[in-house]
Amino acid sequence: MTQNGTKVGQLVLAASGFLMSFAMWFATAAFSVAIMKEYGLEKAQLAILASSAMWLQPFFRQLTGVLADRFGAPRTAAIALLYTGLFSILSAFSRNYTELFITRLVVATAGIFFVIGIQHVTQWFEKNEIGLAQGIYAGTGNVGAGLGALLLPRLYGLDYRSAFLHMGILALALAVIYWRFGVAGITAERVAQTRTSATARDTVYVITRFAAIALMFQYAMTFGLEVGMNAWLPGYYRLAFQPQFEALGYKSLEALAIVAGSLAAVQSFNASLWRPFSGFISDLFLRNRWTPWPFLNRTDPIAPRLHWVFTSMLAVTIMMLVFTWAGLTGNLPFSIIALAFLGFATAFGTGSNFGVTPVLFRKNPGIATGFIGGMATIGGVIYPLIYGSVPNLHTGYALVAAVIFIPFMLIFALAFRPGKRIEVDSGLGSWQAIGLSSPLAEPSQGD
Amino acid sequence: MNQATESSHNSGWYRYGIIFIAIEAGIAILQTIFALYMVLSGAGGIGGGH
Repeated sequence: MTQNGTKVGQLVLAASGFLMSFAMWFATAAFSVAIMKEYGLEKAQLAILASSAMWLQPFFRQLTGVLADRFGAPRTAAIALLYTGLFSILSAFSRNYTELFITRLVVATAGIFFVIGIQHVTQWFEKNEIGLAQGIYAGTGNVGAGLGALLLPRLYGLDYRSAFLHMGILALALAVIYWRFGVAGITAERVAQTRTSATARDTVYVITRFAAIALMFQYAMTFGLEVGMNAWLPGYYRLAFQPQFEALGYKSLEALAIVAGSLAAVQSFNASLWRPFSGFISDLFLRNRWTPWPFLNRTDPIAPRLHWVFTSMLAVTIMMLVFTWAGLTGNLPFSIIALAFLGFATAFGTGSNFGVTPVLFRKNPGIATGFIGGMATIGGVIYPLIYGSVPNLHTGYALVAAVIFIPFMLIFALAFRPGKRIEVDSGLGSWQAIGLSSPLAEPSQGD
Repeated sequence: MNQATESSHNSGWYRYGIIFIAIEAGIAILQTIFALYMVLSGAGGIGGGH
């Protein structure tokens, strides 16, 4: 096989593993009605079950990033697919709600695969093409949530046990394929360099860099928003637009659930499937040296990609305001169009971030990705709580944009302020004080 | 780096990658149109039909 063939093969492998993992991550939510009915769950218990999918992400993603750098993506991926697959099978045979809850909590850690795949792709693609490669990987994988929500109930009805069993078996098969065909990096030197850069000190150093913190906040307002919306939107549409649905003839509980789920999927599909397009635009910004924002760095070789990241943050903030406006009008088609564009902007944000993060932190891609991708999922827990806390259901989006997203944008502008180069080593404590042998920035960084 | 750019773009994967993401974007647009169809016609799910 040629090197390019191998390169594409590794991308397909990573995207397949992530698609499978993302589908497993949100499979519990897809069967929430059936589980609620079987165990007689109250709304509060259902909310806990839904939010539990995020609980272990921040810590486990961080840990997984270190492991991927240390042991290589293929081994880490195979083990992740193996244990989540086994627990998915176990969950199919759970005898009570406690067993189901615990086994599904473990299965939900499948979301850690994101970090493994990003690390894997980073090890194979060059800086000038990594935007598109990461976009294809992550966008294709992320749509696993939407596909699961649409297809699983249609394929299995209320029989979630069979679905969990079959998904577990598929994950085990994929684990074997990943172990057999996965290759850690394009060159042994690159793999070795990453391996030796995965110490606890490296982790402490990376997660205290201002650039990493700013990119983490950016990802929290895009990916965190996306996963939070996955959990929140079906309930929002059911509660906020029920009179409109009933006027259209969607009156039974099942009919309302289907229409609300279908509308909510607009966000999931657009936020996932436009994501690769954002990586492509990131590559375009770089090639054409587009730097429209005067308050950001314009001279660093990677600066154009950062300008695209900031553009996406602005788009997300504006669309959150528009989504609130659409809701307040009570016009359902307007709300859906606004949601589609919000998903579009979210995709721009998630895709643009990972055109930058692996390049800025090429020395420790797993650690950086684990931190940024892991901590950002906390947004998925916080935002729905804010949406639900305001008296008017529609105004929560504008509130989140005003009190969270605008400060995140200011932090981003501060971290990537104008200067000759991006100060990727700027942060809490120096590399010498933390005991590292070299800084993150190298003479060729960002080229 | 320029050589790498030329090499990767001439290799073909990038071109196919763009075709692939165009198809993905098309799927997202179709799903959005389907959702609009549901709320404009009341069809496309259980119930509705008005």
